[in-house]
Amino acid sequence: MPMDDLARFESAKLRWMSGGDVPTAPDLSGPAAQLRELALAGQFRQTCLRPTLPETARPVPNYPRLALPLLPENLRPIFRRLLCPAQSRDYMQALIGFMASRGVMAHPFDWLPPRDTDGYPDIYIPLAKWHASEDAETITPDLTEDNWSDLFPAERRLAFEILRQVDAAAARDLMVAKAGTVPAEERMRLVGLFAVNLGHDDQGYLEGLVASDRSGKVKTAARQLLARLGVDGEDDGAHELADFLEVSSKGLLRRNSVITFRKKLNDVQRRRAFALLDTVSLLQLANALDHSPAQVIAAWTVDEHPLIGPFIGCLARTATKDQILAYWERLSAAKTAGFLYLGQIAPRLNRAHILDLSAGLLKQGRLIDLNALLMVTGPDLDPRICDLLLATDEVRDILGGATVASGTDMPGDTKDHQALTVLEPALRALGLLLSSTHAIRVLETLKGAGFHSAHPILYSLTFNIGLKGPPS
Amino acid sequence: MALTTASIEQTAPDQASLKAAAKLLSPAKWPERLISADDGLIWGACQGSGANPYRVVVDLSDLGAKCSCPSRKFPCKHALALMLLYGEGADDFLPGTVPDWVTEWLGRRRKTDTVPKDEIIGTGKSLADALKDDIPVPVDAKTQAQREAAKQKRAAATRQAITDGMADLERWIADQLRTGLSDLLGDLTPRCRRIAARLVDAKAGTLAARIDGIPARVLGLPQGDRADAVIAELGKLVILSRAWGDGVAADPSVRREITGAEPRDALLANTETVRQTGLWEVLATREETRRDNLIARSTWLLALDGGHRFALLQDFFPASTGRQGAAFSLGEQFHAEMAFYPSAHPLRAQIVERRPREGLRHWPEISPATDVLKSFAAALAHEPWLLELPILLPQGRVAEAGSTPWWSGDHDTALPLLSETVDLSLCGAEIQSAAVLWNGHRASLLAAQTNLGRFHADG
Repeated sequence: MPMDDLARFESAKLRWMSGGDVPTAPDLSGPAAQLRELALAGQFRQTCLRPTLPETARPVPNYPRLALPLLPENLRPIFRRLLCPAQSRDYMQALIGFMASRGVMAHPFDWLPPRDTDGYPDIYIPLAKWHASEDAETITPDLTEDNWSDLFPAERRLAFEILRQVDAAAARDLMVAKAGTVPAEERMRLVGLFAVNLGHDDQGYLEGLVASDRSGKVKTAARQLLARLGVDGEDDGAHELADFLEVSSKGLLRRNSVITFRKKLNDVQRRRAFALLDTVSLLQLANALDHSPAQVIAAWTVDEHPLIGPFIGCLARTATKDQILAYWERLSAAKTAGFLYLGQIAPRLNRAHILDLSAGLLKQGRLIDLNALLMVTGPDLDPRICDLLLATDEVRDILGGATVASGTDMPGDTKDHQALTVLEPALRALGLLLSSTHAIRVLETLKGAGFHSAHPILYSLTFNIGLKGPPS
Repeated sequence: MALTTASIEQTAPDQASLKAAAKLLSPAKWPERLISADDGLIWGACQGSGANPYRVVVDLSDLGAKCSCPSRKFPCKHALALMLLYGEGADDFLPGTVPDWVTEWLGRRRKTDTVPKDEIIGTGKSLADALKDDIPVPVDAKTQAQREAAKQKRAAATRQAITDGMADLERWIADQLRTGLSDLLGDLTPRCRRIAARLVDAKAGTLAARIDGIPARVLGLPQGDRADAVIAELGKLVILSRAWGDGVAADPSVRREITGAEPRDALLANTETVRQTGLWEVLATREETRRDNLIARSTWLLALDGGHRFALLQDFFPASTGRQGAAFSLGEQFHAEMAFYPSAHPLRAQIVERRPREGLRHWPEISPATDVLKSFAAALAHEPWLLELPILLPQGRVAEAGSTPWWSGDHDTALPLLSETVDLSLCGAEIQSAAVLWNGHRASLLAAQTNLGRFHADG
């Protein structure tokens, strides 16, 4: 392109931008000539001037290698529909976890993990790093002092957890050296991972945190771990709580102790007592009551639901696994155990154990909410539990209401719509919980009740069936 | 699930609808007729007078229906025609998998008691009457001559009005140059609105709509590009005005830019219409509400049989009729005969006939060394008033420069992209080929073929 053309274009542009009857070349002085020049200038600009990539331009890196195959094309539309309307993070985690258990990943065009992948399968960490414009390695390296700062937070936590499993002391030494370099929130999460292979060797470090860490959250996390080790910490209000409790005897032949709130507590005192249950440890409480931890567990009420939940929370934070299971056995025997309580202790158990306890609850008919079950057990249950689940009264009632929900009985009535709003969340959860064989069974029931197989309420089940897992 | 004549008659809102439906019973108007017997659903695509077909679905259990046409009647003539076709020959409906748009409708609809009740049968609607041919009223030669003369007089008056309007437009552009384009940019919307209104009075409605769109096109660009863009816009108007002359010998493509496109029947009857049969893929659908309260729907297609030819299906419907259902699914591929509006650079088209296709074929190969802007320059050489043109880009990747994403090819070619059309998720994929709309300043992504499959900017 000749430079004088460009100079002429720029000169004309300057003239037109400012306006006025600016004299130009003799042959371009009239309005008609100006319009001709304008037409030519426009074409010149669009055909002769080529865009050039700025030197500052930075190519976006390609996606990292994906750990699993992508969701098949034919299921992507259903997946996108399951994503909206805006689902809760819990549901998203269950959906993504379900897909991973069936051996596929979400297509990045449909869904990218958030920066914080907590609760999502670890296979998404490289994608989250890419999302955060970090270099994305597909294999999480061994954690060392040298690469500590290079790793993405979620990836660092994963590597730290692995290190706690294989060499708890090395992990502790690493924390001693590097904990000061991460923010309090992240430090608290890392300290929480000391629960993996927690032992008395960790006591000194945890006591150091309680004594000197700047963050209250970190101190609390360390204190709770110490309590699990049986180390008695500060009082934290245990004696004040003990004043709100009474130990009574129950039974005619075998006089068993029962710990409950005092009968004449006013509302303010009850609120205070609940707040204290959130902070004290089992050991502190036992000391304040002049009991052993085992005696407190054996005596704490298993009938009064308002007192069960906070106490399970206290156990989940500060008791040993055996102590937790001892109280769980009492709850099961009293038939007051439930999935909400199981959800509280689930972080202290492995999945096989959670599934065993879930099966026990289902045998007792203790299902209240399918979504609570999904959050506790995670998706894709084994066939044994699926059978128990489909036999519960709740699920039978839900599926029994399908005929009304399908609208075939009462056209034009709002009753069918109300039934649909009950059915919809239940089926969304069932679709992620059931094996593909059980999902087919439920789908057939619903089709028999009058639903089109293409009805959106069946998406979750259809998705499940489309992603056939191992034969069950 | 047999439909009876009586049930269809009773479902029809009036006799006129039945009559209109009867005119749609030719199989040629229905490139798609499908059934899911398990679900009791029939659906299809009806080629109406517009470029984009209408999608129709009927639930056989209660004759509930949905159509993407703008009709306020329920069910519309297309739904009635689909019912009639099914009643005539259920075997002509091919078994199919219920598509997404039908599923979406099923999820939204509330069942109503639309199956006719016995007591309301006999309200005077008759399918037999609807199927009777209209007998044309004979017109004598004198009346015919008078009508023809009146028509020519009206056409001459319209040409003159437009010619006057063009002179007015040129004066307006000269005024903008005199007062300065900086002023114009600061007051772009009202000024464009005023001259557009004058062009509507001058019967140049399509050109008026184009000028009404200038503020959105120019102000949507970064500050640094706006001066160049407004110069290009005004320059193209000058060229269009000169190309019109007195309107008598104006090129059909010029007339299309000023007064609108010829109707489908005229296009198909025209011997100069270019026809191309082949495999096509739906790249993107855009809807834009214009200031004249019309919604412009554009569907961009890519020929998969080579040649990198694109087709644009464009329709307009009143905004007051509400949002219409989509005519195609993105990425859908079908065989079709396409009729292109006569032009030196054919792009806008109508579907003459189409057949569904299973499977997915790749886009045509494009050499990495291709000069991607050559086709744009060539198109402007023939039709310098063109605002934008689809182009196919070879292998490349997305690069970021500040807030502007760029497509960067392997051979030192690069185009700035409109950031609204580039989703982050595309940036990590290896782009094997991309289809964009290039307007001389920014490229708007339509679709891309990547190592992870198709990406569509609209969803």
